[in-house]
Amino acid sequence: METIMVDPFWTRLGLIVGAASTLAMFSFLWKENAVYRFFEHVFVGLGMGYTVAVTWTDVLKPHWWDKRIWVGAADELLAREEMGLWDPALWRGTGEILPLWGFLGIVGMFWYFQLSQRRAWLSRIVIGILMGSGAGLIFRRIYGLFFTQDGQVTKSFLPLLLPADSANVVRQWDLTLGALTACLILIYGVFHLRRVRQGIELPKRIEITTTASLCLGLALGTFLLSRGLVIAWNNGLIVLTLICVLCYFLFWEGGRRNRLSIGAATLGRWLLMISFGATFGSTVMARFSLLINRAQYLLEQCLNLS
Amino acid sequence: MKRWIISLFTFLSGFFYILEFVLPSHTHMGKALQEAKPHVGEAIMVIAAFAVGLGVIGVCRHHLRKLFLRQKGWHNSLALLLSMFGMALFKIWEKYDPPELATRLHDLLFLDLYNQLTITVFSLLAFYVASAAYRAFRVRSVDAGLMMITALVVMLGQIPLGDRLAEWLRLPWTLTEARLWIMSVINMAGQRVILLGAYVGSLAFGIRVLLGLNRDTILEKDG
Amino acid sequence: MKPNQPRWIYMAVALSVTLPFLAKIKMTMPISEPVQKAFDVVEKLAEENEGRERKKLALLVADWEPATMAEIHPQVLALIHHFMSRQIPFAILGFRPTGPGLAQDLAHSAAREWNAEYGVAWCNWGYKTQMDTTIQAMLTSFHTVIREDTQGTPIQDLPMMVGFKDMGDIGLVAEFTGSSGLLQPWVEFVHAELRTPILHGCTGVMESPVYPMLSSGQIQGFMGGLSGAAQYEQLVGKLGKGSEGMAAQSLAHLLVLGLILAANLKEFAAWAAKGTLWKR
Repeated sequence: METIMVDPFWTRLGLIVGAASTLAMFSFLWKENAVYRFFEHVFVGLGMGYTVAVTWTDVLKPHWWDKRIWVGAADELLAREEMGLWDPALWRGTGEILPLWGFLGIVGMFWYFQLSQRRAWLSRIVIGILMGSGAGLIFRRIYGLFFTQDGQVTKSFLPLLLPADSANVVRQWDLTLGALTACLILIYGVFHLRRVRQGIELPKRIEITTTASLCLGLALGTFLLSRGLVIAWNNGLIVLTLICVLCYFLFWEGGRRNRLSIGAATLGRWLLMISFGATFGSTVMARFSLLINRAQYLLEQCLNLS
Repeated sequence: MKRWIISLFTFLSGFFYILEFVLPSHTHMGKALQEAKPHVGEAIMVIAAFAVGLGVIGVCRHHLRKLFLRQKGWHNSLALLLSMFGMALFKIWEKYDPPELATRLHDLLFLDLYNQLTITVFSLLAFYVASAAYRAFRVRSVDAGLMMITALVVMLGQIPLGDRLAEWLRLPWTLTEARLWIMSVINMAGQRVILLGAYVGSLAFGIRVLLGLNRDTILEKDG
Repeated sequence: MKPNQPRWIYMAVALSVTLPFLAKIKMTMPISEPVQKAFDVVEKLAEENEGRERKKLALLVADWEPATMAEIHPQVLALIHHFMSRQIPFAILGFRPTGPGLAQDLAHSAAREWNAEYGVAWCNWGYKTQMDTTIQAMLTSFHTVIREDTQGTPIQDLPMMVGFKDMGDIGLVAEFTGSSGLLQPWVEFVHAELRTPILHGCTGVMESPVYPMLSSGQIQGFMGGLSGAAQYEQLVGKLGKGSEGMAAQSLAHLLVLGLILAANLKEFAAWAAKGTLWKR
């Protein structure tokens, strides 16, 4: 590939054009103005022009236009193609016009019947072909994503008990006791929150619940450790999240009839909020990255302040 | 009759791939479908590419009308049309051993103008995120509170200062670890269910499309 | 709401991203597990290629637009440096019109440093449409879909493509995108059928939906946003725009956190003044 030498004039012109367009777009933060609108139109035009050009050069020309003429023996060409030896010289020149690729051009032109009111239904044939092929592939896609050895459904069946080893034993004690206590207090607290909000004192039951859960945790932890097992907390939390979020999506409106489904759906909604909070946190980084790129461009490249 | 033709083509294009998936490759039919698959795929790729002209025609109609009728903002329409045809010309010309000037102009339009404009347009969102964070992100419920706490942990966990803050607060784990735990345990499970729901929905929609039950998108009611 | 109220926020945002550059502050990031796994996958391919007469290719799928290049470019550039330093030949392919062109510019800039020749160390297969059907076609008959590169050179005339038969000769798929739905076909078709390792790079917005696939093992490594790029640059030893931007990211994040906390404290104070705080 040929490389073009770096020319200071073009580099400087490029930086001036880039900086001017950047500042023009930033002027929108003050208020919408004519300069912003002008560059907005230029932006749309450039994007469209690039897409059209690349569609021709990378898709239509090599895969359709260059295949319109087929010279020579079809069998020989097919054999060479199977060996991975595709020779463009054999595809160009005078000779028979391969009807299949001509037909494809006609089918492709069906898109433009959208511009006619009477014949618009012809354009729906090509829309149907594309939608149909996508719909046909959905079965393979679902199998490939969910049900293979690494599939999403396959990997959701996680072990809830793991063999104990020195690395996880001590941590398991804290987690078993703490998590069980926290869960029971939380469940109790949620169901009796109204009493708290009305200023009524919590009865002695909260102390009994805490003590009972600590003893239960101790007993459960000891039993499991005696069997050489510990609870896989992360796996348990994943399975719990999967079930509760599924309950939230599936048992909608009239499906929530008892405390279990309502509770599971509520917990599912809270866990989903945690997921959305994580997405928001990542989104902030994404948005600021673009602005930081602008600061880098203006300060380092244009003003040379690095 | 029209609806029948459209449904037939829709069904055939989908049924080809379903049959190719379910038939074993050692059967005669399975082998034939496998051999036809690359050519069918290439044909569909070409058919899809033909649609690019529709957008151009639509844009040209609108902006040429504005230009010739000298409506308000006609100079913007002129700029759009010039930039569109200019970019297309220089990009296609690039493939045919162009003079140096053409390559320079292409780089100017694509690298120095288009790229910078695109990044700047989307970088405006950073200002709006900050503004929305101040004006709209209020904790008024348990849900919002959970979302905010998680967002706080995740945001602090993805910057270098977050770990220094955790050290200073003497937390037993780093914020990077906390962020990774949130993302790979709770977030992962929630997103897995969302993914499952989305694909079940796609499956249902796909079956409706293949069987011609979906009148709204492809088939007209009076078609 | 006062009409000029957002403008002081805009000023604060502008200052938070420009001051670290003026003060020339650089920061390093702790390396997270997904980025380390991404690095290890490439190292594993390099080790597998050692001693092989015909090296397995890496496929760099350029599915991003200029809107997302601020985050994706540092990731891709770090990865290209990694490929070139370990002499892993790679090909560029894209299902977004601008992706292959942008990736080519990055490859050119890195190639000067490593003296990597086009056609020997890397090549560009260009842009294709209809991702699902095209990948399916590539799996069955690669040469039907990829016939020539973006310069019009037949594929088999490129030295790195001599003897290349099918998708089984690809040792790694590295997919970079800022949009949703572009990673899944590679997982569903290529990884499901051939068990080809997949590495993913995306913007921060698209990070959350990737974790299920990382957790199940369908993708082997992952770089998320500018922090992922900074971490990969540290691993490769070529600090670039990713690491430069982390100081500004830190300040900007603290600003947003401060704004959220300030707004909520103001609201809680208002409720407390009205005596309605505990009734909420």
